[in-house]
Amino acid sequence: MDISGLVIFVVLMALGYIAGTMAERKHYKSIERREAAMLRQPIVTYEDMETPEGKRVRKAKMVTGSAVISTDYFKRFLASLRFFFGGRVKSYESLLDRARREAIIRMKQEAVGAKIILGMRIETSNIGSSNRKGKNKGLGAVEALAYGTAVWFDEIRPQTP
Amino acid sequence: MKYVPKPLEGNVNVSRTHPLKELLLLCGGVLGLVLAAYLALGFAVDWIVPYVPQELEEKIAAKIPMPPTKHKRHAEYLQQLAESLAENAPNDAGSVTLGVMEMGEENAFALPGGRIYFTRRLLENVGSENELAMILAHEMGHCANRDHLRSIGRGLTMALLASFLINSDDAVEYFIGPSITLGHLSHSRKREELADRHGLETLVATYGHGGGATEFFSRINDNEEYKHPPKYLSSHPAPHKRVSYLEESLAEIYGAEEGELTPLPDWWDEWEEKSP
Amino acid sequence: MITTSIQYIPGMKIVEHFGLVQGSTIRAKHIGRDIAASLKNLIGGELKGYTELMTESRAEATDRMCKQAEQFGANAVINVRYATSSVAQGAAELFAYGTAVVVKPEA
Repeated sequence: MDISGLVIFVVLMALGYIAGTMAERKHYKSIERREAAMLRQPIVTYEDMETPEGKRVRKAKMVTGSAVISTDYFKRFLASLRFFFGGRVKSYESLLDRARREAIIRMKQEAVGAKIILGMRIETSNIGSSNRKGKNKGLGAVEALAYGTAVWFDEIRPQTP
Repeated sequence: MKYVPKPLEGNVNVSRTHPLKELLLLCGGVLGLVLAAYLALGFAVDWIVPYVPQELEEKIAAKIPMPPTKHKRHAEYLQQLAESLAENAPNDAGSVTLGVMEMGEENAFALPGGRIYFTRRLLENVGSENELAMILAHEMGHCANRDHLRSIGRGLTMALLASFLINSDDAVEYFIGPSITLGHLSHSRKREELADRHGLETLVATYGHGGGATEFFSRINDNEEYKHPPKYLSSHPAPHKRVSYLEESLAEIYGAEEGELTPLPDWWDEWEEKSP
Repeated sequence: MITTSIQYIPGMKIVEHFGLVQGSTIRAKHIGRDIAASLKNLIGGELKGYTELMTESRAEATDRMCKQAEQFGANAVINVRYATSSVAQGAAELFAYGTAVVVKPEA
């Protein structure tokens, strides 16, 4: 039996679990902090807009944000075991959640000062690679892309004659 | 319409299960599943083996290349010994063919088709006919129990299970591969014990006493050259264990009395050529 | 919870909105289903197990999205969109998102 393979496996699992959990916790803290700071700027999926009274549109522009988040060894192992039984692949849920929320935050960062982001859409894709056996398996990384149209307003000042 | 900014509390999109709990549950489940499949298939193999006709076994055996045999005189002697042992054996081993081969290790093994090989090194170190008879009867026990068919069947079972795992992650193979191997080795140790028992019964029935039954195992146990892996990683029971259970079974069949050992013939130390 | 794929709810008036709500899930079928599906793949036809998987996953993603809307105190989600991704092979990853709103019947 290949003992060294087993040892490498255990080390990678421990590394993946400890480092992965720490990185995830840190990322979530940062996401929550930035989301709270940007809370006053709404994002909506519809495309209609009402211009508030006394204001006019200064600028409208498409904004995008994307993030690629990778899984760790521990999560990948949990997921591959999950395929035997079916059900929720719990270890990947946070991966997708983090990627999307990060993409939305980055989109908002492009829209500083905008009143609203209209018609937002999210796309996700995986980043594939072939492993050493030549089987095409996902790298276990997900890319989320968020895009929408940001609208900036100006106050209408009374015209001075 | 008016925008009402509200922060979200909690996260509905991520399950609140501790990852380590999930790991334990999944590992336990997968292990259980694979071991159950292995046991079920292994049981099916054990059930079908006695019904496999001798001709089929010989056909399988014909596909396996056999090592060249040397030292005709010793092989002839072993052949005669095997025939006299067969008369007293509890289980019929069918027809066996004996051979001697050059190999640096003290060993004897049975191959499909009733072929039993002794290494020259083992023959050089053997002290009496009784000791030789015990080893020979043990290998004949493997033939009678058709253990190589069982191991071929189990090998196929493992290959089948492995093919299911090929599509999964490398990590899963690291985890499940060894656990199947452990089950496989445990089965192998059980077959060895049965063959030992067969050898012992044959020995006592032939010579009227159990002298020489444990000498070989005591010798390899004392030999520093052979590193014995821990029990769970070994395909054979540990030699000192074999000595003690052989002594126990001996007491059970015959009583602990030692009888006279039959010496080997005078020409025993004359070999066809020099040891490599 | 009312959900629509358009920008309004016919017959209703939108009073206020809470911005984006999202629900996502990733689910897999057990290995037996996967084997059955790969066999079915030889002869073609509907993979019932996978249809079921996608339906379940979509329902769960929608459900999670609606839970977020409930947290805000909304009673409808408008302009709902679905997206899928494929981080892991053989698993269904469904994502539902929309805008949480409070609606009342048009007077």
